Amino acid sequence: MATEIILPRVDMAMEIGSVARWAVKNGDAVKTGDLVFEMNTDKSVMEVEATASGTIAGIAVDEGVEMPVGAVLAYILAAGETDLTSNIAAPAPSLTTPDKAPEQTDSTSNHRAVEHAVASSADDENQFRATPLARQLAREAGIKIATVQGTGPLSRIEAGDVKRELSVKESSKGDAGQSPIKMRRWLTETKRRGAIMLVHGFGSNGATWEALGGALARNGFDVYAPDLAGHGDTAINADNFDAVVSSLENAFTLVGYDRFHLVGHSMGAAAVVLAASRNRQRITRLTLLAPFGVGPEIDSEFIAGIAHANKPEAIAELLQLLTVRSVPYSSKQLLAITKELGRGRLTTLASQLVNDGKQAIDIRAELANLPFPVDVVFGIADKIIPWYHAANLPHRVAARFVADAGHMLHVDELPVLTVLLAEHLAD
Amino acid sequence: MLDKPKDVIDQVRELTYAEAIREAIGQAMEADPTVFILGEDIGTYGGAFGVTGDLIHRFGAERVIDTPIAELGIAGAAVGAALTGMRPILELQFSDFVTLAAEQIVNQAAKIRFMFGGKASVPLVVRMPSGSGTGAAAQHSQSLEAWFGHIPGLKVVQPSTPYDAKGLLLAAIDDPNPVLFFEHKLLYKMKGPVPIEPYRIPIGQAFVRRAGTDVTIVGTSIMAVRALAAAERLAAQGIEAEIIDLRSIRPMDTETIFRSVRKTSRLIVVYEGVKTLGVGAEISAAVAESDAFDFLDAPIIRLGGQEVPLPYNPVLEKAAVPQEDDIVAAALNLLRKDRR
Repeated sequence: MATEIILPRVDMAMEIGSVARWAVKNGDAVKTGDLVFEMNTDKSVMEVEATASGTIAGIAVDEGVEMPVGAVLAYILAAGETDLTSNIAAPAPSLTTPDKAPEQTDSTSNHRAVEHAVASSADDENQFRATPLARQLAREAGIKIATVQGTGPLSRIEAGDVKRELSVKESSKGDAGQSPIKMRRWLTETKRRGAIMLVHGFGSNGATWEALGGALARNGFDVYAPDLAGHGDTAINADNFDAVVSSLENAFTLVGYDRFHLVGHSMGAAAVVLAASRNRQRITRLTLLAPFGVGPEIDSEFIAGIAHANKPEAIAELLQLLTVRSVPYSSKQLLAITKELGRGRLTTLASQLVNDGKQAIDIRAELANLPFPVDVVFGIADKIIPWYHAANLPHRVAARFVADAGHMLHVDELPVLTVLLAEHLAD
Repeated sequence: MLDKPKDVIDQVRELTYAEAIREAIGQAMEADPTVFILGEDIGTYGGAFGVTGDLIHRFGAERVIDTPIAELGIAGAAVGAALTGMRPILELQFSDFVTLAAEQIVNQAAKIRFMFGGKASVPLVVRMPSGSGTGAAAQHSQSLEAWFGHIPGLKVVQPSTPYDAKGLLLAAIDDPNPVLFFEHKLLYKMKGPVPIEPYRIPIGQAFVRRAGTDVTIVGTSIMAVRALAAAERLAAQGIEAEIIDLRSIRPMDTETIFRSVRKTSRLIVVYEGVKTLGVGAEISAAVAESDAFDFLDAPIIRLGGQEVPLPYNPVLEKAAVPQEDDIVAAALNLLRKDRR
């Protein structure tokens, strides 16, 4: 939908202002928060940011032209919207004549084009009708109301729609049916203390966090757990590790919080570090569980076995390597895992992660440069990635060790991990 | 009902709405010699709807005064009497005729306390049979309460049960200010429990006739009765409606409405007066302005009278004001049970 860029009122007395400098031109792509223009007011120069993401179009006012507060200066077109960049909007009546008058093209037809854009923007708004209660619930739960499918009259989003969205834990349909990333959510029903994203390891998926996610939600956190590319119900394939990382970055956009705590397990920890280093403004803290990418050793047969698994019996054996505790898997669970892994989606990725029996990815350079606290937790009884990789960590990363825990720390020592994360999050 | 005073609960018997009103008048006249009633055909004839009945025999023609058919004149007499310290009850044969008396009520009774700096007051009650459903046609069937609800200085009461009729009328007679008391013609024969002793229901307090979780239905007078009947039918379909009987539209107990809307998230307002610019608009706007707005999960629905003079034809007359079926249909539509 086309979003108007208007001349904002920045203090009570302000009636007019002007663009001091455009930071964008027609056709430029902007993201929410990007600088769009600098504005002259009586008192100062202010920066004005984009209120939506899209493409700049219809810049109607030259720099230095005084305009009334609220005047539409340009538009941000959403993806797929009619390209208006060839149509320069007829400028709104200015209050002063600039040294150089803005060149007017065929104002009648162009004006109509912009009006059309505005009209269709109003139509698009109708796609996001929402009741006051629905808006309130979405606001409180930290989800974007526009991502909820409305089932009311005129496709109005009602409270029930939001609640349905909130209760979606197992269905990727909850992600507005648009994102190819499947996201599980455990939303707290108590006083909200913050948000956390849990990122699974190789061959796993977001379901691995069922117990921890629920525990953290009960401790007051909204918990998100994506299925990474090549894993679970996320349709994107992962032919290389970059695809995994970019699917994680994609998952960040589904979190209704500006900033959140990020937790990664094993390969997920490596993805977390790379994704976080590119999205620093969104992350408050990292916790890495048995991270991949900080040392050479790894049980390469395990990785290969998972990547090429096709028999429930073989998988059952491999899974037992992950934990100290003997975890009983039902034959139904094993069949589901076999079916999932049997698709062979991970074979290429496995060959990129492990080369010649050694870990082929190193995240330590990125890890050393992250601007927020990072904690690493190892299980002393980890059979996949050894705990002594902690010695390879950059000095500013804190390492912790849990006795009697294997690679799946969140399975072996759920209470310890819950307390640890709740403490980190409370910081 | 839950709001019955405990000490009188044992002395309750069934009365009609009309009998409850008569009992309130009689008890007020017994207790206070300044209370009297005047109106057309209220003496020997016993009132156009038989409400005053035998009061003339109990209190005599000096306190139960038959007047000429001259609403402006008798309203002026009532206002004047009130100014001298009496507590008159004025009965108008049909509430439609209040239009003739409006000068005395709107320009005099409502204003005097304010214009005399509180040194004078008008403790007047104007009782009026109102509403449609009796085949009395366009000039004898209207619901004009919203007219008077618009006037600061007046109170406007609309009881829906015999119990409320007595308690609200005694409160109205006690009130030092003019109170317009709209009785519904179709309710006069309604029976209900009424305590023998005098009791008063504070004017301006709504009553939740039925608790519910899915939709709030606000009404007064016979619309509260219809809403309650509709609620029972809705319950059979799994919809729990909360029924709020406002009892008075001025002052209006908006807090009770807000509290309910915060709970149910849906609001239907039902009133017999013409829909446009009516009581429902006031209630809807009050909710929209309040913090209860954030709890709405659907547009507010107003069920009001059609934009026509009330027809004589009984089928059309019925169709011209909200009926039980309309309330049920509106609630089903609001909760969309009929479409799923």
